[in-house]
Parts: sequence; C-alpha cells; structure tokens
Amino acid sequence: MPYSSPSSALRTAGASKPRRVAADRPGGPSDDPPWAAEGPPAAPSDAASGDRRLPSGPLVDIRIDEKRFIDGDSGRGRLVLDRIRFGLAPGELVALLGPSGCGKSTLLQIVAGLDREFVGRIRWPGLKADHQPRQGYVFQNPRLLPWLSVRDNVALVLDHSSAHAARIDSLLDAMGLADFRRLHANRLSVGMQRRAALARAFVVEPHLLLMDEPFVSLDAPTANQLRGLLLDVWHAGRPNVLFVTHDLREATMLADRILFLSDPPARVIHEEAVGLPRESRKDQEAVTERHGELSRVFDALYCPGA
Amino acid sequence: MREFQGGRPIPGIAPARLRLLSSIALLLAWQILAWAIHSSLLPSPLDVVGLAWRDTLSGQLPHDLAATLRRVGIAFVIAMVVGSTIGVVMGRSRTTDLVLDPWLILFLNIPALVTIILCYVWFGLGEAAAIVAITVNKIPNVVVTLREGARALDTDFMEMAASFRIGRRKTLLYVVLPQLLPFFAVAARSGLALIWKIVLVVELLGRNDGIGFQLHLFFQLFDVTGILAYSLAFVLVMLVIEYAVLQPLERVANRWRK
Repeated sequence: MPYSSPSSALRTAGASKPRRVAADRPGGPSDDPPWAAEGPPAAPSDAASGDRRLPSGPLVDIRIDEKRFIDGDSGRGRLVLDRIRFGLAPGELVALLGPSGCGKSTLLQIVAGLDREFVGRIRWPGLKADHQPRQGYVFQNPRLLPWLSVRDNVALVLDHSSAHAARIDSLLDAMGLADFRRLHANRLSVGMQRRAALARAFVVEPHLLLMDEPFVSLDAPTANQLRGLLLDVWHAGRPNVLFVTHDLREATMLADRILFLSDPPARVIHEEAVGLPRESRKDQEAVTERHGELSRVFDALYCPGA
Repeated sequence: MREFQGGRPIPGIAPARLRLLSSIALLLAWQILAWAIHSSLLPSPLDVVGLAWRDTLSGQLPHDLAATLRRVGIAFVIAMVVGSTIGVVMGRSRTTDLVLDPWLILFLNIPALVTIILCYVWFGLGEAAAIVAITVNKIPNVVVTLREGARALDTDFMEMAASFRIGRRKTLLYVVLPQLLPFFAVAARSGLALIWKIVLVVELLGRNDGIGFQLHLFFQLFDVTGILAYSLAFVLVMLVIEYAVLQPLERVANRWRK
C-alpha cells in the first residue's frame, strides 16, 4: 500500500538522496511530425506506441527552479517545488507520482499558466512563437457549470462552438453521454460528470492535456472503464498528457513515463519508462506484471527499510 | 415548509386554497369589527373598495398610482445598476473594499428621513431630488448583497475558465453572472420592499402628486377611508409585481438547481 505510513514517508524524505534528472531529453531521430499549432493534431504515427525513442525536441519544456508558498502567519516562503525540470515529447503521456500534499497539483497549475508566481519558465519549443498552446484540463472534481447543460458545458470551451457541433456530438457519443446532453450537468452521476469533463478537455483538441487525479473517488470498475475510454479518445488526437496520480497502477496503465516526486519540497527523485505497447494497455495481465516490477522500484524509493 | 426551502410550488392545490381562506378570514374579521365599532375611524372594507372604485373612475387614483410607480421604477433601476456595480467591484477588489467600506457603513446607517430632507434642501423640491433620495437609500442595501455574491464566486470555476482560456466575455456571461443571479434577485426583492416604504415619505414631504401626497391630504382630513383605499391599492400593485414578476423570474433563474 503506497504511503501507508506518513512517518515512513517522512523518513524517506530525509534519507533518500534526490537524484537530479536531466531536463532536456537526449536528441534522436523521430518519425513523429512536430506539432503544428493549428490544424487537427491527428497525424497518425507510431512514435508513441510504446517504444522509447524520443523525438528531437520536446513539445513543452518545463523548468521550475523554485516555487514557494508564503505562509500566512510568519510571512516566510515555504519551498514546495525544488528544481523540477523535464520535457514532454510529442504524444507522450507522463505521470507525476508522489505522496499526497507534495505539490503535484501546484506543478500542474504552473504548467497550465494558472499560477505564475514561481522561479523558472515553461517553454513551448514545439510551437510557433506567436501561438497560444491549446490545453485541456481535467480537474480533481469535474467542475462542470451546473446551470448549463452537458452539451453547453463542452461547447463553452470552444471559440466557435457552432462550427464544431459535429465534433462535440461525436465526443459525447464516444463518452456514452449522447442521451444526457440536454440535462443540466448537476443531474449526472459523478462517473458521468467525469466523462463530460474528459469530453470538455478533448473537444479543444489540446496540444497538452493536464489531468489532476481525474479518476479519484470513483469505484474501481468505473475508474477502469474511464481509463480505457481515455486511451481510446487519446488515439484520435494523440495529445501530450501530463497527469498527476498517487496510484502506481493507474500510472502503469496510462503513462509512457513516470516521474517520481519526493516529499515536500518536491523534486523528481527518479524517472522510469513504462514501456508497455499501446495495444496492451488494456490487457490487465500485462499491466499487472509491469505494475509488479514498478512496485519494487517504488518501494525502494519510498520505503527503503521495508 | 418545502415552500421556503426550494421556492418551488408544492404539487396540488392545498397552499393556494389556504392562502385564499386566510385572506377571506382577514376581510371578514375586518368587516365584523367595523360593524361592531361603527365609527368613521374604522370604515368597512366595502366603504374602502367603494372609494377606491370611484377614484379609479374619476382618474385620481390611477394618476397618483402611476406617479408613484414611475418614481419606484426609475429609482429601482438606477439603484440596482449602480449598487451591483459597486458591490461586485468591492467584492472582487480588496483595496476598493477597504476604501469604500466606511462610506458604506455610513450610508447604511443614515436614517431614510435625513437623506430625504437633505436631498430636498440641497436639490430643491423637484422630481430629481425625490429620485435621488430614494436611490441613495437603496444603493447601500444592494451593495452589501452583491458584495457577498462576488465574494462567494467559486474559484474552482474561475480556474476552469482560465485554464481553458475562454475569455473575459464568456467568463462573465456563463461563469460569473449565473453565480451572481441569486444575489441579484435577493437584492431586487428586498430593495423593492425598501423603496415602497421610502417613496411614500418622499412624496409626503415634497411632491404634489403620488400616493404619499394623497395620504398626506387624507391625514389632514382624518379621512381613514381614503388612507386605506389608496394604500391598499398600492399594496395590491406591489403584490401583483411580487407574484407575477419577481417570483417567476426567480424560478427561471433557479431552474437548474436540484
């Protein structure tokens, strides 16, 4: 059980020597076209189908030297994120795994541009300079506007929603929400709200999809079904995905690469490629087997005494 | 009890019938009391309705009612626009809140009569002074309610809007305003109730038409029938606005709630 004992996790933080991870990925030949800012990001290729060859430039380059929260009483800065550097190759799914409260959500908010008070920079070398990256965000809670219908919630995030009616409806179909599109969002079950939130994130055809524990607080079968759904929809547009989780099995099933974060102040203490081919992501046995191997890495990182 | 919780009508006829019976009982009690006392100081409901009907036919009552309603309408619109703008700004900006809060407390605590007198003294006994007096009395009320609404805006939704970059216009229309609407409705209803009370004093002190002016005349003649006829006509209009306009509007605004 991950993070079963807070005290052991604390000991880990003191004992483990965080290892710096190179921010820039090593260059290499790529058969994956660099992502253009406009046009459907469909370009089918097998670069992300599980092998570990990385294209020459990252789509987004994240470098956070330091992020502090100011404590209300003392007025002193508390270090939350410490020298976090990594890049996302086009089409790559990266999981951020770490103890709760280690600053994973903060990291996502910084990447999303919601939090600009940090030392460092987020660059988009894969995009033309004057283009805003399109991004989708799936929050921990669905955050659908209860006064709008399901369909209007999805349409809201598009600039010219009437021009994209077909895309909205086909995504709602894919999410199994076709019959519920006219309902107010708060009439849906939590599982359906999360599906609607996924549809909303995908409808913008994002360059980067950010997900903050998107399947937390769902029962296991529903969560698993949604993970499968995510993989299916991902195939249509192949966006970059950066997601936060505390569930190693979820990370194994979805991610190409897992970044392990330390207790606060969070650093990347290890990174591991998952290396499962895309087609066996829904194969429970293959995932279980790889999960077993990764669990040993995990235990060595967080519970060295055990 | 469900009436008060959801604002939704209970299926079936029971509440409406209860209300009707209660109103009839009140009228009957009044009529019986008037017969028993038999004094010009307590006219019967029939006398009151009779006078109201005669003055309606002569045009006097409609004229005064229209004058009062016009003042109510103009002051209401101005106060809602100005008050909610100030309220939302105060709710969103800490600095503005700190600067304006003492003024707000001052204006909330000035007695209505003082504002009215000062307005007439400073701006003359005119229509504009009357409107200003009513508006100034109501604005602080609206500011307080809308400030609460602006403070209660859900940061989760604001973050959602920011992360999808849906822009200022859409954020305002689809994220902010729907959250402010219930507060706006509360301010409208409580504000209207406040204006009803103030407008009569304003007319009594410095206008030569309107329900308040007529009440002043009837008071000097000790004409209780006139007082009751004109004030009840006024209350009737208020009830119609409440049930036919404000409550349905509120129901539409809250349609999406469970």
